Amino acid sequence: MNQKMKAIIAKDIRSIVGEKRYFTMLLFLPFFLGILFPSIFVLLIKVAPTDMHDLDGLMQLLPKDLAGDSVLDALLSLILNQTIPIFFMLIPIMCASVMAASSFVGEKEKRTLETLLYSPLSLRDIFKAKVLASTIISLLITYATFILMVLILNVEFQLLDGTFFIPGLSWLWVMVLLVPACTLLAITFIVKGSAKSKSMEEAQQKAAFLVMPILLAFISQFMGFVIISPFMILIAGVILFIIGYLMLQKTTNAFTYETLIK
Amino acid sequence: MEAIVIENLEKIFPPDIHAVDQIRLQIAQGEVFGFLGPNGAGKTTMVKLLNGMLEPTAGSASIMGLDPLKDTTGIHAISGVLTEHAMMYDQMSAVENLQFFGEVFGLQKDETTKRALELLQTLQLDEAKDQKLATYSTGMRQRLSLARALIHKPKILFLDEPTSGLDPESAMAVNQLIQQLANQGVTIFLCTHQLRYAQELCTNYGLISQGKLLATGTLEQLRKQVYDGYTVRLKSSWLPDTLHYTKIADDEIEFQLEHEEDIAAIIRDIVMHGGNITHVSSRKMSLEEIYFALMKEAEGERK
Ligand SMILES: Nc1ncnc2c1ncn2[C@@H]1O[C@H](COP(=O)(O)OP(=O)(O)OP(=O)(O)O)[C@@H](O)[C@H]1O
Ligand SMILES: [Mg+2]
Repeated sequence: MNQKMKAIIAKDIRSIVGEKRYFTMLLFLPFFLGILFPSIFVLLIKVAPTDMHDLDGLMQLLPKDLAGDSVLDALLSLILNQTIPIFFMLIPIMCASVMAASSFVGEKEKRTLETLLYSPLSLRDIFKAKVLASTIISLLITYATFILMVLILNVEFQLLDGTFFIPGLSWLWVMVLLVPACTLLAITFIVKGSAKSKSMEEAQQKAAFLVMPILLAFISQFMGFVIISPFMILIAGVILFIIGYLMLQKTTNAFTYETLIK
Repeated sequence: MEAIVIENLEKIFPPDIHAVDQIRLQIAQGEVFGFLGPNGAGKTTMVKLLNGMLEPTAGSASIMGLDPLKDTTGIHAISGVLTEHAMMYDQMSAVENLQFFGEVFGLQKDETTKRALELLQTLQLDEAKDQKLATYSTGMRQRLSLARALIHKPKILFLDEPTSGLDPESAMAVNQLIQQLANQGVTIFLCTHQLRYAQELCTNYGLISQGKLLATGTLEQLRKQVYDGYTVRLKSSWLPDTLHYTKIADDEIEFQLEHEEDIAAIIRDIVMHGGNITHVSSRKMSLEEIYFALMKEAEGERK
């Protein structure tokens, strides 16, 4: 990577952070999914475990021989280590698509991409810089949200019953494999869409398609169909990462100057 | 040495638009080449072909010995391009924009800043240098784009309508800057509709219409293709019967003459017949007149 690419990365990041509308959009979901949502579960289960019928499906996934408080602890651990990690992947998808939409489609829309194409950077390097900018934003926000979530959960655990929250192995594979994989896939969808879609909003709607499998996994878990083991997350992470990487390569290689300045 | 060599270059857009049609052309280093033609003639397409932005249907080109398709980034490093559609960032100020593009061209930050401020001053934008581009008028944007094209001191400049949308003062400043760059040895490929400015700036011309190159050469060479003599304008109370003229106003006429010396005999004749001459002037054909004559001729041939 060279200084020219770094200039593009810095410019892209600065422009999304500087634009209030997009930046709030970037921070809304992490706050909701990473901070608010887990805390609600903790309070629901540890403080007021009166009406748990909504979670019956999940309960079925627990070992049958548990009793009393240990049922609740096991349930909470299941939610925090199985359900929330899956939902968490919406954060990189959201961040990467908002960022990629601004960085690829936005520049094309405003015809600033054409100016950039006349620079001494190859088309590949321009795309690489832009993919990196989106990846950096997506990973930074996701990881920061995760750290903040772990901190807040630990404070809550301490205050409520003096225990700790230590993230399970699923979290590790989600963070190092699934989050980058989702980021690459979201960028791919936006870049692929940018060839056809006329506006940023249109491209983002197309990327929303990625959210579907995650919602399905989430719902099926709530209904008590499957328990997703850390090993399955590891395998899924590796496969999705490879697919994401290859699709992104293929998509960016298909672009030429001529298709971009139309 | 030739800065630009174009060999039978052709670009056909679907369905069957011959935007650039079998053009051969050579432009020497340090020339200011005026590429002139009506709307849709193929000027912008040519600029894009020469910078590797479009792939030619046939033929080839070379810029300072580099192939636009194989060494696109090499060409971009030594050329500055101003086109009508290439925009800059609205959310950034003029200086920030120039700093960014300087970095993208591989310049050091303080070097870029210094050059940016110089260019903004020359182009009379120094007062607005810290304003966001969103507040810029069309003419200000146009001048800033020129500054952007010059930020890396290019050896070749491709200017597509650099003075469109500019007021007379700004247009003059831009033309002076172009002249100054030409004096420093920068090769300039100038597409324009403003033929008077072109005549002041350009050393060579190429006239294009519907993708075809109609004529090339210096002003003198073009004139020889049309009419190399003089047009004399005369205001007089009496006129010789033998004179073939066209009436311009009530007592004002114009006629053509191969040699300037022959005016003397005509004036003597009028004075001897007691005529009163209140105006006499002679000039050669202007670029504008040559342009119209050649375009008309081409249209005639097409019919
Ligand atoms: N991307 C494209 N697809 C299809 N046709 C095109 C494309 N770009 C240009 N053309 C056509 O090619 C011809 C030449 O266009 P070009 O833009 O080169 O003209 P120009 O000389 O720059 O005109 P102007 O003086 O109006 O800027 C026109 O008929 C135009 O419609
Ligand atoms: Mg044009």
